Amino acid sequence: MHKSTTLGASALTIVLLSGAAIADDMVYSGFPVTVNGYTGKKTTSVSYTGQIARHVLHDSLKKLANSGNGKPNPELKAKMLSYYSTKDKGRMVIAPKTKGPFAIKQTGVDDISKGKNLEGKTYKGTITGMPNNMTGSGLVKFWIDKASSANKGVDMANGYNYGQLISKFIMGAVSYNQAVDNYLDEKLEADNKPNNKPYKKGAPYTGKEHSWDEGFGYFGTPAHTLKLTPRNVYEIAKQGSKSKKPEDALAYADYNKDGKVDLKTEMTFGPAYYAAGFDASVYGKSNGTDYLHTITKAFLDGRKLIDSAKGKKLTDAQRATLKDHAATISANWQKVLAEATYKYAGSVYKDLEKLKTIVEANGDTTKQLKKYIKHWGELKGFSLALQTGKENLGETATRLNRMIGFGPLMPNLSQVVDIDSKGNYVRDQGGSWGEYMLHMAKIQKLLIDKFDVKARNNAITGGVAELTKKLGGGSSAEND
Amino acid sequence: MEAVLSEYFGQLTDPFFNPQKRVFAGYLFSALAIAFVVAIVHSRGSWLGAWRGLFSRDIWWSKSARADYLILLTNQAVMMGVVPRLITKLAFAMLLFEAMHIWFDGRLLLWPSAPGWMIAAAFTVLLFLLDDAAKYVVHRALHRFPVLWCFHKVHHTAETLTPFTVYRTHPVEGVIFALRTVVVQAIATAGFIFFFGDRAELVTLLGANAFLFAFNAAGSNLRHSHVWFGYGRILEHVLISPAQHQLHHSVDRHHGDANFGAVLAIWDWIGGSLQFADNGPPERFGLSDNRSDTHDLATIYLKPMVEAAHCLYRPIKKGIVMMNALLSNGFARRTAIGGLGALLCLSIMVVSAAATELNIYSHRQPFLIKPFIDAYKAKTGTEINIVYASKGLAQRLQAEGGRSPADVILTVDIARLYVYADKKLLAPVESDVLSRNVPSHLRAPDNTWFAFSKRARVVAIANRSKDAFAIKNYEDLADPKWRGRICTRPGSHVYNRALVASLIHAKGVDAAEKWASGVIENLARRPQGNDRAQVKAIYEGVCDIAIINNYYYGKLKHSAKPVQRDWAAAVKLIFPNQDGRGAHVNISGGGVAKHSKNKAEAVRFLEFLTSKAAQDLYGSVNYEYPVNPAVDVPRELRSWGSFSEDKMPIARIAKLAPKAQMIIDRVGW
Repeated sequence: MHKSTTLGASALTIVLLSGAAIADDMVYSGFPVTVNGYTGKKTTSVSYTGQIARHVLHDSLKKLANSGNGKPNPELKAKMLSYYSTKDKGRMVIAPKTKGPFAIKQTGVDDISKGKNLEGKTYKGTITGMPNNMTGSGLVKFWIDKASSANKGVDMANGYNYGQLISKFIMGAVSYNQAVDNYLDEKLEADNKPNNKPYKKGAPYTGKEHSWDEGFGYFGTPAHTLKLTPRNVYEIAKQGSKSKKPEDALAYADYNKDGKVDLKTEMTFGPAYYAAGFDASVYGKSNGTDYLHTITKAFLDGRKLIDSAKGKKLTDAQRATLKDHAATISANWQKVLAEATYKYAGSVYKDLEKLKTIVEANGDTTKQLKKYIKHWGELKGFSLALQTGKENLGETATRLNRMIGFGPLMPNLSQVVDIDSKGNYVRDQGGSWGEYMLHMAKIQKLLIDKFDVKARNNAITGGVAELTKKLGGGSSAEND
Repeated sequence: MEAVLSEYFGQLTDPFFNPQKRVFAGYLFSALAIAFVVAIVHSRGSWLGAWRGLFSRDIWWSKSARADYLILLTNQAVMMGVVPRLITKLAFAMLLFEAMHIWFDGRLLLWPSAPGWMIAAAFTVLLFLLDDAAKYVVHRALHRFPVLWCFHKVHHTAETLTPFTVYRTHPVEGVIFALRTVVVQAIATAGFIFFFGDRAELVTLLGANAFLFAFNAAGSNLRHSHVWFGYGRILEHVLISPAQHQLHHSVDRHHGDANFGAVLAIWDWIGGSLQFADNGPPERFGLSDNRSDTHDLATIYLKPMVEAAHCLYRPIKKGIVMMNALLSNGFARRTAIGGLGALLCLSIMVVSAAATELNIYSHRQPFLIKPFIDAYKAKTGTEINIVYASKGLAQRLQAEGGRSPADVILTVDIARLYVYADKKLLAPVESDVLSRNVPSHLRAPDNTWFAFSKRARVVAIANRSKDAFAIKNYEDLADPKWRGRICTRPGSHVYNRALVASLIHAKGVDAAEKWASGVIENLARRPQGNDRAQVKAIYEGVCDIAIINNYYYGKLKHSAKPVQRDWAAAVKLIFPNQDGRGAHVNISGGGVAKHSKNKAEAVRFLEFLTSKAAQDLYGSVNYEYPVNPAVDVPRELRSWGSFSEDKMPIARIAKLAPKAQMIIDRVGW
């Protein structure tokens, strides 16, 4: 008892002395070690480097997916698999990398966390939105194989952009799924990773502390997000390319003012990037959403609550509050994915409109077709991502999958309807352009009905609603 | 209750503050100003005379006017309950907007370079014209049809006119007006947004359509008043003056059946119902059969209902009489009840007697396989359940795995059949009957699937194009001399892909690609539609030559729609390659599901499908050819010409499909 008090006191001294570790209550860092009997040297219990390493593996994999030359390339495939499946040492960070003044501290994945992969953390259920009942990782590996032999990651005949498909899908099947269906779900139960024991033997964090941190890590937002605007967080992800001056993005990200962006705590990754994008209204009119700060604040409040238990088992009341925070996070995260699906359904619709115009005029469709395929990949990826949460979306998922199809409707009216046992795409004559465009409008309506999306960027039927509203009511019985 | 009351009072007062409404305070004021000027002129400059004339108690507090006020109070309450139950204009606009995607096959933004104000102006003008024309048409109908007149009459019973007479309307008529607004606004909105995107805007003044604002501000409220204000003959050809509308309210029917228009007179002009206001005001307003109780609320609301019921009585009575006759006859009644009972018992017996059940997963439409099911059931008593889907069945079967209830798979086209074999969803079948009835080139080498009927891919040629009858082989279609004369559906459709695969089998990949590219060069239009649409295109003169499956010709030839029979009559079929390898055939077929719990029965069903009885059905139901060599080709099919078929192993077509698809992609078919 005496010993632990001394230890606790000395730990507190260290915390107070170490500038970086002083917790600003707006920042997700610096929470002290509360594990009873901890004997190690760590001064903070916050740790989510494994999740950041996976964000980096994901960004790098996306970059690799777009690097093929159109011929079968076993070397590229092996490299992609090393970022997806293996836990190889010595993997370099392919993305994000230093860009102009936006200097990034880490150059190797191992500098962030060692021995991590994506495959082990990919959604394990079957993906009903693609043929052959593949599991999440089965689907990613199928796409990796296809991407390795595609030209810059794009299959112009079947209509696939593998970089987009892989990336958007992983944002759901790894990040969203692991956070909402694991760390913020069963790991909040009383006897699963309790708070009165270390997460694993010798760890400086308790079971609940680390579970919560891992959830936060998967969201991929800078620890000091609440000191930034959504626009700042968005610009960090863009590494200055969307800033007035490129160095602005560095200034937003570099919280500890060491002149470099620490990927572990200062960078914006996929899920947070989209939340920030909607909140900052970068895709259209003023959206009025607040996903980024709502989610981040719920994570921070939850973490403060766990910290306040000081290494004791959480009471039922505390866990109930924690579950409320988790519910806020899950609901808003799901909405971000739904907003993204909505936005890309609108993009696909607009692309089809343009493609039709070009085709009718016998013009060259190549450029527009590429955009269409890219947007379709994002639509499909996000729609599948949405289906990897903890709840079974049931009919909503079925309708989404049927309306989007296994592949985009191509200008020659063909559409992938199956994948054969050798992995070849099987196509058939699809529906009409009009029908497919209508599907996009219906998808948007479905997303409004089921997820109550608010930002509604690229709304297809928005104009009809606005105009009818303006025409006023015809309810009174006026005669002539 | 409080909320309802506050909504009611809100609705009651809204029209006075809402510039979209006729009795908006501003419009009433402008009408008053005009009325004063007119009245002063009439009373030769006497202000007092004008005032007395305008605000005479005989007008504003007459029995008729008091009824107007009561109707206004009552109708607001009634409409408050009714309107929310009508289809909203947003719902109808969305429905139209969605339907337009199908009608126009997608969406093309028109005139993208036009400035926004121009589109907004066009929208405002069009909405106004459409609305005004609709008002004319509906108004005329209200006078023309007795049932409608019963309700509209209420408005015409007014004997003194004030601006509030505009609300003297029966609720049924109110609903008609509300629906009219919904239809007009939905058509304009959906149409404009569809073609012009978000540039469609309404030009408004104080939030009201600029045209209606102008109309109302120019004294529209005088239409229902005793202020005689005409525009003069010339302008009254274009705009309905207040005086013209007062003529419409004249007790003299000679006047009453004219001037139905709201704002514009052109509709009356076109419709021959225009009257000018140059002969002075009518003697009296109202109807000649007005009675002492005309202005009682009960009369106003209920009498039209009774009268309308009377109008509709005769046709309804006819039906009731027939029903009564049937039911009053004791024998007929007993027979009917007894018959129903017997039918019920019979169906229960049949259901319980069915010893076995068979579950079929079918890509073929239910009406096409029903005759086979009925025939089989009649023969064996087996109960058959069908799960029909045009796509997704293989995925479903795969997901169901060992739990799948499916016994038999039925589909069309070798490519689709092969999907099941490829995914290992079919069980091999040992059956002498099937081996005997289905030639070896029309079944799987491992006996997992079998063809049950054949369909030939043929060339349809316009009767008018004598020269095109020179086509003898598929290969001829690539000849440059047919440039701009061929129609086909998209290449990726399984029927075309199978045809390309057969050419690869016969001539090799390069020759097949050269051929496909030649056919594309000869197309009259972008590949589109289904096989039927190609025959239609020939009929319409779009092209002279088309590649289709033979049975579509039969379906068109015997279609219930006369126009489709005309399409078929415009063409003749050619069975290609009769001097060589024969015409390419595809199949409909099926197999036994791998996890079927009822394999023996499933095999028995497949065997039945190859028997003479079923093989004949393929011909009569769908104009397909029998696979069983012992069964004769039906006479109808023989009359289109006999042919020899390409006997390549049909399984090869499935194997060659990926190569065929690549050719199709490369040539842009």
